[in-house]
Amino acid sequence: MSIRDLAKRSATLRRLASLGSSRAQAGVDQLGQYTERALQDLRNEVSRLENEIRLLQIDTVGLRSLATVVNTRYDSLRTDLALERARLKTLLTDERTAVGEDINTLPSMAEATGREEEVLYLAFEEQFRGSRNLVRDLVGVYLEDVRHLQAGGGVVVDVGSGRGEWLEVLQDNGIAAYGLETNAVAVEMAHSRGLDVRAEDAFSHLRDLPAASVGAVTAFHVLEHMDSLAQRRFVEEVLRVLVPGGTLIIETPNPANVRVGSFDFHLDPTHVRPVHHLYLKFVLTYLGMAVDVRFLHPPNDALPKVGIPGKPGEDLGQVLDRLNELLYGPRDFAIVATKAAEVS
Amino acid sequence: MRIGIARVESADAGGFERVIDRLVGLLRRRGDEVVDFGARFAPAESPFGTNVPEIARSKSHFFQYASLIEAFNGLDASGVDVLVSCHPPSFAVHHDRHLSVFMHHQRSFYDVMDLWRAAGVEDEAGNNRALDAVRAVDQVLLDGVSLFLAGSQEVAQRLNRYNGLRENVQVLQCGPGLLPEDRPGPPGDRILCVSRQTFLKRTELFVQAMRYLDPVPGVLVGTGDRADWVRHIDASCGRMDVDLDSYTPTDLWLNTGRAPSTSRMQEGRSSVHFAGRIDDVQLRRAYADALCVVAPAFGEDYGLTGVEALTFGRPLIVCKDGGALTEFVVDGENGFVVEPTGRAIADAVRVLLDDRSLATGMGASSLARSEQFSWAAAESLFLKAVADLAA
Repeated sequence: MSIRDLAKRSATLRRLASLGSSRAQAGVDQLGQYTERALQDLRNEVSRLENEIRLLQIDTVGLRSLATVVNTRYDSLRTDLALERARLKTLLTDERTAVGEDINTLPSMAEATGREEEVLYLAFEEQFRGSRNLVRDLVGVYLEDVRHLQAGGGVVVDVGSGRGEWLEVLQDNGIAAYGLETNAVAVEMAHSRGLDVRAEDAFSHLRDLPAASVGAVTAFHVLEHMDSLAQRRFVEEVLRVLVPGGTLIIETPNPANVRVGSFDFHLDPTHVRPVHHLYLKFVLTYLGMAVDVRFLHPPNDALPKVGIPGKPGEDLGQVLDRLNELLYGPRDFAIVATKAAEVS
Repeated sequence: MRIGIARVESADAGGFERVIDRLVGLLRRRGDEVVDFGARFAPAESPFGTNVPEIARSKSHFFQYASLIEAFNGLDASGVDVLVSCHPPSFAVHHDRHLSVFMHHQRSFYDVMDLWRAAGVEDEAGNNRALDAVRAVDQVLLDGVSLFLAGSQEVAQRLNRYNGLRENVQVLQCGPGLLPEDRPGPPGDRILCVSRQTFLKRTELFVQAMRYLDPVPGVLVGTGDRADWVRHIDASCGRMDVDLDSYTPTDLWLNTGRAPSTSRMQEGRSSVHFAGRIDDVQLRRAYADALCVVAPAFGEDYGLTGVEALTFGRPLIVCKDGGALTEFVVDGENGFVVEPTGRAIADAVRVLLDDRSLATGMGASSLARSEQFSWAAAESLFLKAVADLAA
């Protein structure tokens, strides 16, 4: 091959290389454009999705608020309905008795009167114990004491379950539980909420339970409805049915608050005897339980510190502290007692 | 009796707060125990267990409202005999005997929603979703109220229009916040506007009207978050090269009201005296010195300045879309109901300037009409409503 041929071929190769390079460059440019367009599409999509998420967040808040307020109203209507149904039953019984129907086939007057009393007591509780939401909050503080019973760890028996607030808290947290309640209207209301409440006397029920069969027994504002002998028998029976390591929770008015002990205690005509926390602690300790006493619900109207006229810088501090302790101390106390574990 | 008062605690003590304070004072004086159920407007990032701080900040209006619903709904009012709710959404407190002294909805989700959008305050899509949520929840809550005392015919109509409520709605029209010490004298020579300077109060129309009437002296009492903007409009309308008729609502009041930082330096002379916040003595003087009172607001729930203008025997000029303000005026008898423009307001004022005997006659008509809006009647209606519910 001559030098001229080589030069020609070399020129041809250079032209081809140049052509390839510009095509490659065009390809790169085009790829860049595609990439930019795809990125822009992605950015638009992300922006659209972000906007959609913001709207969904607004919807979430809206729906949750709607569910909450509807639930509150529904709850209240259900309570009203149960009370109204009980009143109607009572009225119907009275009416039938008055028109001389065969009263042997109907509830007796005593039953009707008893029902009226039950309705009255529930209305009384609604007024003075507080709404269902409030009571749920109040009893919710004991959840940690029974949380170990979650997922089949044992059953809770709630004595005097009333409207069933505590049972609902337990149910919401996956803890098996049932209530014992003698107020038939309250039992109906609890059933309408899908709660397991048995219309049985607590003593008979506990007596029928096998020993060491229950994870925890709770009794909120129950003990003060018993005389002292019944109070003692109650805790003895509870101790028998609790499994080793089982828990007894009792909440009751605190008579160390003078206003509670001498006045508010008697607001409820079914109260029999206040319980002194030291006595209850003594009995449970005597029976071999480990006892934790908790003072609860201090009122928020304690006396403020005031100065002494003519003596700047001095106040009635100690006197007021003592008065606050006596008059404005905790309104209730709780005892959380644990049955000793078995020694192997 | 134990009576619960549910209200939004606010540092901004407007006309409604004074009305409620007065009714609460009335209950206390007659020996009722008043129990407060309050909640406060506060930054809200996590209502109803959500955790969405970014959207909560950008839609703070909705999230704050949702938080208040959560707070009020959670309050336990079972211990009171009657519950009286006031500001929205304090009606979320649940009670079987529930009296709502209802002065307004949360209006940005109701009758002024379109104006908010047009002014560019909220983006439309988000607002639609928030609006649906608020209206659905409000409906459940308002259906649970036993009796409404609406602050005006206008507010009663809104309850009917938005919530289908009519049978259990009565109208409670309050008396004036301020009374004259003497029988009102002859009209003065100033044009008076008493109003907070906030969105929809449209004090911009007043300062524009006064530029048409220059050099007639005007007095603007009150302050608010648009005070700088209103001064900016006053300055802008005062420029020699400006055609006052060319201003649109968007130029004047239908906007976000952010004044350019340089506008204060360009103010120059104005026939309007910006009096700001003044005490009762000064306010009585201002009414006494007035030829007439201008209330240019859009869609007012009530408008205490309107009833005060009547009590002080002054003609009252309001706009056709002024809501409850129009309930105070019989057009041509004790004032004028005009189009919502600076020129229309100025034309009405001009009629009174040109005929002072007409102004005097209209002032007398206002005074006579003021008797329909008395505290005695309002208080009596309120106490009867409480007693009926308690029975």
